[in-house]
Amino acid sequence: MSTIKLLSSDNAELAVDKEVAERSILIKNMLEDVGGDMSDQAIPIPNVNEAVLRKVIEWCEHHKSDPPPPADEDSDSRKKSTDIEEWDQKFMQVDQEMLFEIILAANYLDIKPLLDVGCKTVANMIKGKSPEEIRKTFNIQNDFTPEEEDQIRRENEWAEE
Amino acid sequence: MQQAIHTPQWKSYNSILPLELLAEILQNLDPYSVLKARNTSRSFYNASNLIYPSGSLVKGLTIALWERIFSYLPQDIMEGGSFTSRGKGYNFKNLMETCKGFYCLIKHTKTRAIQQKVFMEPLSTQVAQSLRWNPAIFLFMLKLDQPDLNIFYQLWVKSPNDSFQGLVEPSTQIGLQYFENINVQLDLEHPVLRANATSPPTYQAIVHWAGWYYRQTRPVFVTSRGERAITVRDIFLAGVKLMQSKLEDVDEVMEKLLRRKYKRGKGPWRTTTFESFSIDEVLQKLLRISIEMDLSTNKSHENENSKRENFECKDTQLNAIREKNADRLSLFRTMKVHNGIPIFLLGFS
Repeated sequence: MSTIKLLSSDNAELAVDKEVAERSILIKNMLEDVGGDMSDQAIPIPNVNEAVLRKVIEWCEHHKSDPPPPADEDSDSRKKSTDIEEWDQKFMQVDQEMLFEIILAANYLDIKPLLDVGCKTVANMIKGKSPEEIRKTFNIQNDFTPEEEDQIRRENEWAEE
Repeated sequence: MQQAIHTPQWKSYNSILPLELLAEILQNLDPYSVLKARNTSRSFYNASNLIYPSGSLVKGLTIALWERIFSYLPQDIMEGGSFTSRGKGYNFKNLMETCKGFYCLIKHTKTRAIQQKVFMEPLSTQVAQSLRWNPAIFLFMLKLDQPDLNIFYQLWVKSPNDSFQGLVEPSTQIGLQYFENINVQLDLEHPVLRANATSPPTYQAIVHWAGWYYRQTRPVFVTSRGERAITVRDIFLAGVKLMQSKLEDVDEVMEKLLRRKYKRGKGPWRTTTFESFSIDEVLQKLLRISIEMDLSTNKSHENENSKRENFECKDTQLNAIREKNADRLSLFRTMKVHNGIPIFLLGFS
């Protein structure tokens, strides 16, 4: 099995199986473009630091045998659920900063299943929370003026009965 | 020179504005609008990057990523068709109340998954055209929600001034709320999914105002013809009927009694369908409500004897009403066919 090297934004070189790295569509396309031979040169991943890259590789290694995701995933939004596999749940038990970094890395590297797991994790963090709780969870500032808050409350009044 | 005339004004202005000033201006807009428009020009892009680095809406994530996250959230209505404790099940509503960024994202999103979940999916051209048969007073559409749970729908109502939503509950009752302006125009840009039929099929529905004090109208009972489930158009027509019908004296009395006895939207009209009552049962029910109301408000009725007397008195009244309204009661379930759609009217005719 051939190995390739990935170069993180903080200049750390990580060796990884080609099959594992190809879970990333970005890397896969890149390897295809250069004819598949990158054994002597590290592929730069300028948007991802070492810690996050290691996490992403860990996920890719665990999921290397997974079938590719269906192409038309957004056909029916109602089928979307926030269920996450047990291993992935444990994998995502990281601090919030790392979680968001993983999402950004998955988005950049084009690893849809990992992106989905990340998004589902954040969706689960939102589910069932009040506006104040959401603000607290994500450290969001309430930037509404009192008038705007009133307006929104009026708009949503129908659901309050 | 000729080219300059055709250049949008904003571009010519923002190219001469210092970056800091432009950023100051943009800060007054909501983040969603700024980020959506950040590619208008280089200076706009740079200024927006000063306020929202890397185009991040909240917590370093872009609009697209937040939209992806939100698309996994369930709709605001909970399992079994009943709301959970106040505010708990309202994911999108709560998100909209969190910050301007989320509010604008949800309100103006073009992501189909979110549009579906907040009942803002645009009508297909075909459906939109099918509704042009009548320059409608208003438009509201049925939205399928969680087909694998109960029959559960939500109405989405739109007027030029404001947007309204109503609920269709598993018991197939429909409540429309905040429907004050009857001169609203048909808005084809907004609602909603699966406009042609209810699926899984619903065969009966009662359309009424959930907020009773908004308009005093009698409920409209919609039923299907044969095996065909009721369609959105049926509901639409029922809604029109609802708007057109005026309460008569008896209805007003019923209305008042129910309104005084029950909190809005919580009375028997909401929890049962009228079809399950016989006419006598309805009258009995209303009179008993009336008695209870009397008892609770009139101190002279506090003792048991007077309660009994009162009930006897009301029973006599019931018989009198029954006799007096014998011919009218036969119209209790009169069916009216409107453009081929059967609509049943409930209450006294």
